[in-house]
Amino acid sequence: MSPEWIHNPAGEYLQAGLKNWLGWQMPDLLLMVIMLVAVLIFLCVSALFLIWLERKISARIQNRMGPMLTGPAGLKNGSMWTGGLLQTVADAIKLLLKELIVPDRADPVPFIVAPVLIFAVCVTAFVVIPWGPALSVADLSIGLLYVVSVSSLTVLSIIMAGWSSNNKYSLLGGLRSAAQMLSYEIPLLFALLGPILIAGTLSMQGIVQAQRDLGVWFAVPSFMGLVIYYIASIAEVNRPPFDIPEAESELVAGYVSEYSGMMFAMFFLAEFCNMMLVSAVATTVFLGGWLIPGWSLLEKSISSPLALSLIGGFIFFLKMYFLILIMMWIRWTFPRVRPDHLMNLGWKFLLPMALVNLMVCAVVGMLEAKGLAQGWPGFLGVCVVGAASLLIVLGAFSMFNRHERQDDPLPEAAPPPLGEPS
Amino acid sequence: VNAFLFYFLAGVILIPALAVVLSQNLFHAGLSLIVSFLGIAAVYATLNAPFVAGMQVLVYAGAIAVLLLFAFMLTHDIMKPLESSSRLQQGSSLAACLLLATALVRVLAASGWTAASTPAPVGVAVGDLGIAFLTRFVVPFELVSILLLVTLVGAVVIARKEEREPPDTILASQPALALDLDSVSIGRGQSSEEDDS
Repeated sequence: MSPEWIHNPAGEYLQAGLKNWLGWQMPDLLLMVIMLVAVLIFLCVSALFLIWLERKISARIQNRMGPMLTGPAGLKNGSMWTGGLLQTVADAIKLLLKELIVPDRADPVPFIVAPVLIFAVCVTAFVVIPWGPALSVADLSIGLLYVVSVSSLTVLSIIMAGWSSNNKYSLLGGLRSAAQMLSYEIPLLFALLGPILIAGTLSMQGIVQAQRDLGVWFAVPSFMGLVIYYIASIAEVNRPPFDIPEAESELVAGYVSEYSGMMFAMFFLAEFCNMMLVSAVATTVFLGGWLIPGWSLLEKSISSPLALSLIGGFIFFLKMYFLILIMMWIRWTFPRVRPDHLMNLGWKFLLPMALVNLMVCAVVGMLEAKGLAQGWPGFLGVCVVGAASLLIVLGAFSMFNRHERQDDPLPEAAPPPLGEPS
Repeated sequence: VNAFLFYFLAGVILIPALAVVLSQNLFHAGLSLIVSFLGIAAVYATLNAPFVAGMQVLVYAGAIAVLLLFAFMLTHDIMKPLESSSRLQQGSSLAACLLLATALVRVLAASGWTAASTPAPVGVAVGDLGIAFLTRFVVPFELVSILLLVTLVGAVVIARKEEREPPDTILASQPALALDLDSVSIGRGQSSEEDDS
């Protein structure tokens, strides 16, 4: 007896198939557990792969080989990209065997709950991601709001970790991360509001469907929304260049300083799962989910919904991994941002731009509601609106940049040191 | 609503709520408050109000309670056992609690809990909610936003420090404060003469 606002397309498909084959239907609870375990396994395997990929990409950028020794023997002497495939598995086994140390003066309950919570929150938020036309575990009428609200609990577990470690570095890391994540949540939400306005729904499947109806991905009219969302989400997952909460040159490892073994691994895993989550949301909302140009042709030629969903899932997966790759590329290319620059960027640039984006999306939404966004003229109109908004952003960014430099003169321009004013 | 689910959620709400009041450790109290908020969100979800449930998690558990914990972390000496409150505090809080309890009991008694004869509403679409906010309930909606704006401005006024004069202008007006670099012996700093005497 699920309420009207929850749909379970994948589960319904599975139940229908079971009924056809065996004449038996699973109880709801069992179905729920199976679905959640499927999501969990996907996340864990994908995170293991991404950790390996991150090490290889960092190695490539820094002109090294990265891990080369663990892996199938036949691959050992292959190219850089085949070596060390099992490195993360070996790391995971090592971390599993390590002792879990709870510091003597730590606050034990929050200390142990924090790594579990950060991972659980991510898995919970992941259930609404629409992989294909019928391939989402839960299609809620408030899908996007659900993702945003559940993942806003991530900061809670970081605060818990920072506080309960009873270590000044952890505490400072927790404080910094709370300030950063609360600030960047606002441009993040505003960037998502624009596409919601065009789509007229919060359901994840509905948003993808709306992009199909409009004929273009929401990244076209709302490219700056995508950029704002992407920057803010890098800050939300505490990745470099926004990794001030765990800046190792100042804070040891920030809020994870006191963690060891599997509890540390949970934080590590959660970082990669959160990367996947924000990339999956960006894919759904801005990059058209499973849609590609020519999807309707594909739909005509393939009749089986299962095959269609699997193809859709693969396309979605590629788009998601593309966004994650850019995130890794950014990480290994840019230096860490200074805290005041971080706050200025978030509050003085991203937030106003997100409001502009909202207005642009409102125009597109009006065009669509009046039926003016149909066919080629409509497509061109949407593209023009998107290009105009891009120009606004570029102009605003150069203004912001000049302003920032005025506020923040280079060291040699600083006044000569004087006695401390008392 | 399933009765078992309801009593379970009631426990999830009430036990942490008790912990909020009784816990000696403010940080634990804050965490319990979040668990309680999440329980309330779950009740909204079982009542077919998904939007309200999502907002409860986003605004209360995700933002307000986190800000509360953030403030705790900035507070000095919070891990020490609490000092006992004064007689005046105890007396006034007792009076306030009694007043609130009387009001609540009166409301409870007046409402006459009967089982709803109409079937439970199916849940309002988010769009309808937005339209209602901007048409029928536009005045209260805008009033709330003005209230939030006033709070925001008030917070900025309280938090804003008076701008200090830059050191250059201080020194220009009071040259006596400036340091004569030649008279400072190396490694001793400004107060070397006072130390010697």
